[in-house]
Amino acid sequence: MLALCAAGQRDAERVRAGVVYLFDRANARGGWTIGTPEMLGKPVSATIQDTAVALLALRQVGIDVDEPHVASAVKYLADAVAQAQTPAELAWGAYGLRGWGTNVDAALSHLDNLQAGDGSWAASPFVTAAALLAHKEIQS
Amino acid sequence: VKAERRGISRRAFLRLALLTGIGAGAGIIYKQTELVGFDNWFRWMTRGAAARLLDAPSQVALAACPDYDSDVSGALRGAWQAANVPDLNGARVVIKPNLVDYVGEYPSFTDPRVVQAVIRLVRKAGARPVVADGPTFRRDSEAILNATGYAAMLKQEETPFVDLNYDDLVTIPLQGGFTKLKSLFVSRTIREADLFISMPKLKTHHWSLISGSVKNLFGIVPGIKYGWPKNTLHIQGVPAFLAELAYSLPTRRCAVVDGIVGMEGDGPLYGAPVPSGVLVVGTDLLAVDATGARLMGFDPTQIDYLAFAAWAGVGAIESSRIELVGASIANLRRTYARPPQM
Repeated sequence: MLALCAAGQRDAERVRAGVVYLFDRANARGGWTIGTPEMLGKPVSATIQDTAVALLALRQVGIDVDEPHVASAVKYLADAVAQAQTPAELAWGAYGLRGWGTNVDAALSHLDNLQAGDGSWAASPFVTAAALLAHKEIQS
Repeated sequence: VKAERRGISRRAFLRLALLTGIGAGAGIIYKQTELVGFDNWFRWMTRGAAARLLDAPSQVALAACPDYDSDVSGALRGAWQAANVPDLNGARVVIKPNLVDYVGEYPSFTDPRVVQAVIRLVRKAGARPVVADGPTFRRDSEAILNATGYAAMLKQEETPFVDLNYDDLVTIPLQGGFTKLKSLFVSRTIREADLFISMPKLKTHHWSLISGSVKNLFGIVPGIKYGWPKNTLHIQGVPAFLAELAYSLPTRRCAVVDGIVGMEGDGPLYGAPVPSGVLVVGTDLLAVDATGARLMGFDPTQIDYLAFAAWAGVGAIESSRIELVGASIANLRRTYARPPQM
């Protein structure tokens, strides 16, 4: 969905199908996990990163923040980021919340405090990239 | 008599009947093996038969260890020596616990105190250990390390953690032919290790009944390549893919099972604790898992992935082909509740 929207295909059929799919797989308590919200009858906890990526995609499609799935996901993510301790969770959380009217200054400040001396976050190119993306949106 | 009346001799009739029987049997085998190919089936069958006939019994060591506050290192040391684990001097050792996820109070993961004991043991033997895993459900291993107590333990032991989901990738050939995949991307850390130690929790699993040292190999599959929860590989068939991983793992291997507190019922995540008070050590992962199954009160020959892999010659699961040393299995056996879905 992100790629198609970036390529100007926001109205593509697969994007619309993606929205339906994400809403279908949303966790009852808000947010998304790696796949189905239940595994053999047991609820699967939402994760920060999966929820962040889903919200980024839905924002690109233009879904309104008042849409119930989005609203509960934004609430879940804001609550989860407030408890987050790792660079990956903070970076993805702040990145995913961008554009949904949630203040992420505290998360970014916490993230900055976790930056390593070599400039990376968690010595990981993946986490460092997410951290930079989280900052980029705030600056733009 | 009836055949003779029609002009066919008894001998000819018997020959005809024999040939018909052989032909029908071959036809049934061909049909039954069509999915995997007769050549694959024949190769696995003959390899398994040869292993059962020629291989020495697999040695599996048991150690009683009543709780995590007792002498875990001492118990482990005894079992380790009894299991004839290869020389470790100068070896790069990858210790792979089961960090499938952290879900509140459920004892779903290998306790860090057992991993700590292994780190100390291999380091004392002259090895260079790293701890590594690629969790199945979460993309952020650091959060799991923090929640499970691993981060503090690893810091104390000055031992690095490698996230197998994001490590540099290399390909290994899949030589067993158990799936349609010809090769697999794995972490460079795994490929370059001298010894791989699979450290599962003794627990139940809703797909494979138990989650042992072979199922724990799923954690070496890199999420960055195959996604989460690694369904690209689940859809190859769990027993087939597990047999392939166990067969094609490019590293010498052994297993240390944390059964001090096991988990029964709704595994791999939501089960209940069972104080089993046992550590299991061995170099044949199938034999270790079969012993684990018996410790939980299950018949390993009734567990699909074990039965299949043993039939194909990947390891031993029959009690006649496993030499148990150390503590008595009769004293350590418990009756674990099966997953409610099974």
